[in-house]
Order: sequence, then C-alpha cells, then structure tokens
Amino acid sequence: MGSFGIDFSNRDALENTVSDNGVVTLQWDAVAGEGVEVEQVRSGTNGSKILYSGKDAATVVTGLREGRYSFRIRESKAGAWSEPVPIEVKFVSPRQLYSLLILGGIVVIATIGTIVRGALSLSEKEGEA
Amino acid sequence: MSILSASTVSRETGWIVVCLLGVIWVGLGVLWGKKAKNSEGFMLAGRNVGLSLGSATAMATWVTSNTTMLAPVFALTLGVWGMVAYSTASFGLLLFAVLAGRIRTLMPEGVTAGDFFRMRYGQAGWGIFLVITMLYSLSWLVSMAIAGGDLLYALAGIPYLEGMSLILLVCVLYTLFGGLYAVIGTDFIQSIIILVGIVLIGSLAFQQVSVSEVYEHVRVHQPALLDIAMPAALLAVFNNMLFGFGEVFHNNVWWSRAFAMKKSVARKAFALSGFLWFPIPIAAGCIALTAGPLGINIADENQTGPTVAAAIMENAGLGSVAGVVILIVLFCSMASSIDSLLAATSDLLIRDVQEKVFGKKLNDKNFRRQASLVIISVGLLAWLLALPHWPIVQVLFLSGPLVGSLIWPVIAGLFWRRVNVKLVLAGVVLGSVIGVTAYYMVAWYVATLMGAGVSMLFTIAARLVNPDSALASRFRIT
Repeated sequence: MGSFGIDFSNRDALENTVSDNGVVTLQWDAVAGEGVEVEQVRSGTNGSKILYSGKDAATVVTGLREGRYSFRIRESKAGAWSEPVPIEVKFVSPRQLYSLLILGGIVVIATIGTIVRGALSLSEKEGEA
Repeated sequence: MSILSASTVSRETGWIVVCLLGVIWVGLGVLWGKKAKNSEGFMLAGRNVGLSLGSATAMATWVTSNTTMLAPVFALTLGVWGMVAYSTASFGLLLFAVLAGRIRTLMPEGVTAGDFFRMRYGQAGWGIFLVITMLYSLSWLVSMAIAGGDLLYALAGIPYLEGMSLILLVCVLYTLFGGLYAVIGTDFIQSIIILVGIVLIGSLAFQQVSVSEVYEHVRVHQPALLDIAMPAALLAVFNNMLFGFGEVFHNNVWWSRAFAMKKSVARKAFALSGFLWFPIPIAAGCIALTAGPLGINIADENQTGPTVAAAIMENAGLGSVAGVVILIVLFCSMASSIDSLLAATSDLLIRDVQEKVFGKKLNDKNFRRQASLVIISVGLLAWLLALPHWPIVQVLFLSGPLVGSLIWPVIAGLFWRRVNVKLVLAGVVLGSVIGVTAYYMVAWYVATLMGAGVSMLFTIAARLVNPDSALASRFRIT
C-alpha cells in the first residue's frame, strides 16, 4: 500500500515490468462508495488525464506508444492520490523488428508460393494427360 | 466476477439455457447418428458431405471461443493490425482448399492425417506427428472446456466444475450418438447462430457510436493502435498466419473433413469457409474498439468480448436478454470446436493407435463400441485435465511453433516426390525447440515464425541433399 491509502495492488509487478506492446493492466482492491479515480501522466509532458472513474477493481490500458508513463489512484474524487507508479513501454528494436519482418515475409511468401506452384504444376500435368 | 454484473443471467436461467441447448444438440446427434451405418459413416459421414454443410462445418469449427473471445483482445491490445493478424488465420483454410484437392487425389481411401504422415515419413515421422498433434489437440480441447466453465460462471454464476462438466458432457453425448454426421450438422446450425449474434451486436454497437467517433477516440487515447509500424502487432500478423497454417495443415480435424466431403466439393468448401471466416475476427474486433468511446471499462482483457457485448446490449435496452444472447453465441462457438476435436482425436486414437500400434483391426460390428469407449475416454481425460483449472491455454499458445514446424513437411509430402526424410524430421524437431525457446526468450509473437522458418530451411534442404523416393512410391506421388 502507498502512504495515502488506496494503491495499485500489482504495483511491484508494474514497476518491474517493461511493456513490449503498450498494454498495462492496473489493479486495486475494490472500494465501496463512489469508487476510485485513476489518472495517467506521460513523462516529459504536463498533460494528465483521468483514465477511469468508477467501482471496478481493475482497468486495462492499451495503445500506449513507447515512453515512460505514470499512473496514480485515489478513492473518490476528493481523496488523496497514491504515489505514482512508473511504467515503461519499450517495443522491440527497429533492427530486430525489420529482421523478423523480413524473415516472416520470406517464410509466408515461400509457403504460399510453393503450394500454388505445386497445384499449378499438377493441373498442367493433368491437362497434358 | 463483477465485470459482467450488469447483464448476468440468473443461475436458474443459465441452467435452463444450457440444458435446452444440450437437449437440442443431443437430440440432433441421436437423429443424425442413425445415418451412420458403418465405421466410415460414423468417422467420415459417408464421404458424402456437400458444399453448404462442408463449408459451414469448416467455418464453425474455426470459430472457436478463441475467435469470439481472443479476436476482441487482439483488437483492443494490438489495434488495426491485431484484427488483421487474427483474420489471417482464414488463409489457412484458403490454402487448405488447395491441399484438400491433392489429399483426396493421393489418398482416396484415407481416413486420418496420421495415415499421411506414416505413409510419407515412416514410423519416426508418424511418432513425431502423433506427439505434436495430441499435445495440440488436447490442449485445445481442454482450454475450450476451461473457457466454457469460466464463461458459465461469469455469465450465470454456475460454479466452474458444474459448468465445465456440463459443456463437455453435452458435446461428448452428441458426438457419441452421431459421430461426424452430428458434428457437421450441429456445426451448421451453430455457425448460423454465431454469425447472427456477431452481426446483431455489431449493428447495435455502431448505432450507439459512429466510426469517426471510434477513430477519433483511438487516435487521441490509444494512438499506438493506429500506428502502421507497431512492432508487436506487425509481428503478430506473420505469427498468427503461420500458426493458422500449422493448425489447419496438420490436424485431423481438417483432414477428416477433407475425407468426409465429396471430392468435387472439398476445394470449394474450404475456400468458401475461408472467405466466410475472414470478416468474423474483424467484426468481433471492431466491437471491442467501441469500448473506449462508449465508456466501457475493460477490467480483464480476456473478457473484452463479453464485457463490451453486454454493455452494448444494456445500452440498447436489451439488458435482460443480453446475458442469454451472449451465453448462446459463446456456448455454440465452444461446442462447435469441442465436438470436432472429440471426433477427430478419437478417430486418430482408434485408427492410428489402436489399429496401427496395437494391431487391433476393427470390423464394423465392434467399431461402434470401441469408438464410443474412445470418445468417452477422451472426454474423461479432457475433464480430468480441466478439473484443476490449470492455465492450459498457455500450452495451446506454446504449441504454435510445434504445429508451425509441420507446415513444410505437409507441403513437401503432398507435392514433392523425393525428400530426405531424416532431414525433414530433424527440421521438425529443431524448429519446435527453437520456436519454443523464442517464445520464452523473445516473445510469443515470434515463436511460430521461428519454428516454421527453421523447418522450412530443413525441408528445402531435404529436397536437395540425398533425397529418397522410397516412401513416396507407397504414396503414388507423380
């Protein structure tokens, strides 16, 4: 638990994990009353936004671009914010990405090409016969 | 399970819906099972399945709970490329259309995929195939049973053990009575129900929010979902496509359908099912993308589909029937896969293990009794494995590189006369090992690609280095 009351129950896991696909799941213990508010801040910007407001006990954040983000939570709209939890989103390196994409392209084209070629050559043989 | 609380049906209603569906499927199984006069009728529906039933059964089998549950997750987490990635699994059906014609020509009397591997790659190849396909089929079957139990608990509060047991029992019963006739017939009805459900929920979603509003929300709040170069999503396209190729090309679920269809319709039926299946994950994915603009919170990404569908129906004033509709659609999508897996896996065990390993040749008289015993045993094994609620879906995902490494051996076996069998099999084993390693060391979205890539290199080399035509001669490859 953070020093102000409600906190993310998976804080340790969040702090020690780098998201490679821009997806983060934030979890906390459900509270009665008005529920909670969860806020997102992207490092290096002044902007923040309320991600979730309600009575659920988790929210899945998707579509984050590479960068450092922090999230904090508070009980009801007047409660104190928890300490922010930092999250890093880091995709695979461009070099690794392009190597794997080239490999994927070769395997898929070769697979489809071999099947189509095999079928065409058989139909030609059948035509000749 | 609070995420679906707005639309959960009562436990009584849940039991009534599921029992009603169960009675219908079992009743149809008994009715259609009367057509099966001999072993060929029971296992291959008399090799007489036409175009409409053939394409519907292939499509329905491919619409698993993974499609209705996972396609929305792909859209929500990987965006536009994620939807495309999931849809590329249809290419497996389209390409299998080409292979199906060849399979019927080469093996007019064939019964299982095991026949092909044994004839083409000998006992060693057949053994490797059996290990991979049983691991894959059982993990698919058990993960479906677990998903069924989870679904009934989430939607109707039916305890996991009761729900999981119920869905397995229903599928075992109608497969037991009706064989492939029942599986194909129920698949046809189930595929229509699934399509109607997805179209209904999709229509309701886009009555509540416009496409431009969805686009604007995603652009502002989930920008990576629209990025053309999102690495995980781009790599998922190739990985998913190859996973789909591997699943369809090797598994007896598809081979048994190829053998069951009339030779003249096999190609058309698989091609049609591929075209019909392609838009389903995109439709299911689009529904998931409306979550943000409609203010629907996703608390568990694995429940994205049911959560969004329930909220959309609630918004449309259909809250009281939302749970029932979702329950019916998802129950059908699970049943259509469980029955196919039960039938195909049982065929494989009877034909390949009982007859070939133990040398017990079955005549039509004792076949039905043996088939019943095997179907019940497979159902019981699946039940026992589903009982502890292990995360077996991880085993299914992990089987991607294993089935991916069988893609090229199938292609080579069907189209090439001469290959070096040892080299092909070495490629399957090494591809599986490297793919599984990549799963853990890199990410899930490269595992199947690595497995298929390594196997491809070895199979191509096997055509050039000391190729052997001895096995091909048994197979009448010209």
